[in-house]
Amino acid sequence: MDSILCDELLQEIFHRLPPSSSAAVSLVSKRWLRLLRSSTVALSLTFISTPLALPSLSSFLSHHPYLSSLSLSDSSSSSFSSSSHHLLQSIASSCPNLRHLRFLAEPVSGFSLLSLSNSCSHLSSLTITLSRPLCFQWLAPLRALKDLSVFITGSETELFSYNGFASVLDAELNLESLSLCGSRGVDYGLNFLWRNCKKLEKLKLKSCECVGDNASFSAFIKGLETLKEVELRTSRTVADGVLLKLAEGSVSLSSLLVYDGGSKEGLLQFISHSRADVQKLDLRLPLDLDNDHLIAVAENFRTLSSLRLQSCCLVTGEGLKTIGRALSEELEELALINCDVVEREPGLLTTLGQNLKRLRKLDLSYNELLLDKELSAMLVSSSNLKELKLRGCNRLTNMAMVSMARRCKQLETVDIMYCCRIEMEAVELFLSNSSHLRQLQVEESKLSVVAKKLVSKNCIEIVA
Amino acid sequence: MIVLNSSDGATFEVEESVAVQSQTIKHMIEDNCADTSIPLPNVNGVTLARVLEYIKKHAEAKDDEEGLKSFDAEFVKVDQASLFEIILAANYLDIKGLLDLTCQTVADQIKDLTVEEVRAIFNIMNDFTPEEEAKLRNDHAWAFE
Repeated sequence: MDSILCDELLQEIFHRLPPSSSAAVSLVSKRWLRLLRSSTVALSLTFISTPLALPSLSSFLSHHPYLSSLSLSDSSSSSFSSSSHHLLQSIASSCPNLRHLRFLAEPVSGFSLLSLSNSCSHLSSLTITLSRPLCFQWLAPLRALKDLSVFITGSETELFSYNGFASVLDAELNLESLSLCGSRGVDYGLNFLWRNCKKLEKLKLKSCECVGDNASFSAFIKGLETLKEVELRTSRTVADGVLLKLAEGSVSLSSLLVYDGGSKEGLLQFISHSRADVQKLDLRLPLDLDNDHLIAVAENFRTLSSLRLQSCCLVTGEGLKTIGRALSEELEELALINCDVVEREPGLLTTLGQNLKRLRKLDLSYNELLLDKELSAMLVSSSNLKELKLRGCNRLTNMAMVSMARRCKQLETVDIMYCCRIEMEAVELFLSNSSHLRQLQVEESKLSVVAKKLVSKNCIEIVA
Repeated sequence: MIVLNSSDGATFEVEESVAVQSQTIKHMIEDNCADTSIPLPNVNGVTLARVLEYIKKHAEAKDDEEGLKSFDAEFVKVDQASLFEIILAANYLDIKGLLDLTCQTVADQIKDLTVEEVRAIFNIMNDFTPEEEAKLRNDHAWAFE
């Protein structure tokens, strides 16, 4: 009967199948196998076999000539240090049309990547684990590459003299987004990136102690006119320098994230002197953020639309109220996650709710002492909320859900996981009064039969 | 009003504004091939009637998201052969919404089935030799996520 449907239509059906069906579908008949393989554009594989599986990866991939996206990860703990080279060669020779590659099965060296970069010229995004010593010459042929994510690994002893790299040819790279994890003092190979990424828009650094040669890096940050988003995670030693340079240049910067390691002075310098129209600020700095910073934000970032603070215990109501007044027509998203100021100062949330007239997204997760009446008082003024997250707020009871149902009729996304005092009846009541709800994060056990019917009738996504 | 002729000689009248949900018909009207009636030699009467039911409902209840959702769910509750005929018609007439709906329905039917169950529903012969089948199953040592 399937002969009624032409190849094209059968492929339309295959496109709508989840990846888990591929195994069964490919065994139905030769025609189905052929069509499935030629319509597969994305594969996500876990490398669970031994090195003996190498020849079969090559032939396996060669059956999927239209593959544009491939992800290979490793679930086994044994390391096949010589095999990553062969795996990359298999990929390079079998998948010339690849656009996206995630290769986290094994660390690779710059040398192995040459075969990839010479064959897969359409690659636009790449995620890899790179082993030391770092070398980025292989990036030059990848003219279409916009997104690069590198996890750096390997011995940190300086085994090679870098004089040999002085003659490394520069090449203008088209990278727009760069993400680095784990760089250390010996990683001078990074200087190639600082000299050649002139179009970078997003920079993400995680657990980076050092980024190659400081002078190169500083010149890079300061000169980067296209930089829009910066994320610094657990990179205390680097953060200071970055923030100071961002303050001097980077007028296009619109989003800054600093978690777990910044510097008071660097951050204050940046906030007070930046000429950029920063839209989003996301800070998790228990020891480095205080009211001075918030007051500076209120003065200098007049177009801020999103402020997220996590575990910022030095902040008090005074700083937050200054923000509330200054950004009353601007701020659309506010997060005060695990910020005990919310619990320490009754009435703070009420004031913020009254001031922030444009508030659409509110996140008060993990404030374990937050009381119903504090939340309700804020919700009275925030009737246009679309997103509300209260994960882990153990003190909230059914009353909180009643307030939400009554005051915030526009809610689309709600998170009430781990709110142990909120019960089934309250969840059901909320569901029957929220016509705009699209997603609810709650334990399955809190959904009554009626609630489940409402969920399926209104196509609400439940996430546990 | 537009007149449509199915492959087996049945005629159907439908408003032009409704009929143009089919890109094929829309182009024929624009290219002036539709003076008296439009011949549709690739679609039989029964299937054309069903397709027209779909596009009429989607034209009149355009903004009623919930109503359309339940209509669609009922619409695809037909036997396998008819479903395939509708897919072919939706493809020929170039009606994206209907093609999406019907292809998704078939995909949903297949997705949780075993190989044998799929073959049974579609009446397909297994043309692999046992050796070929064994080799293919071996390939699946790579876990698909």
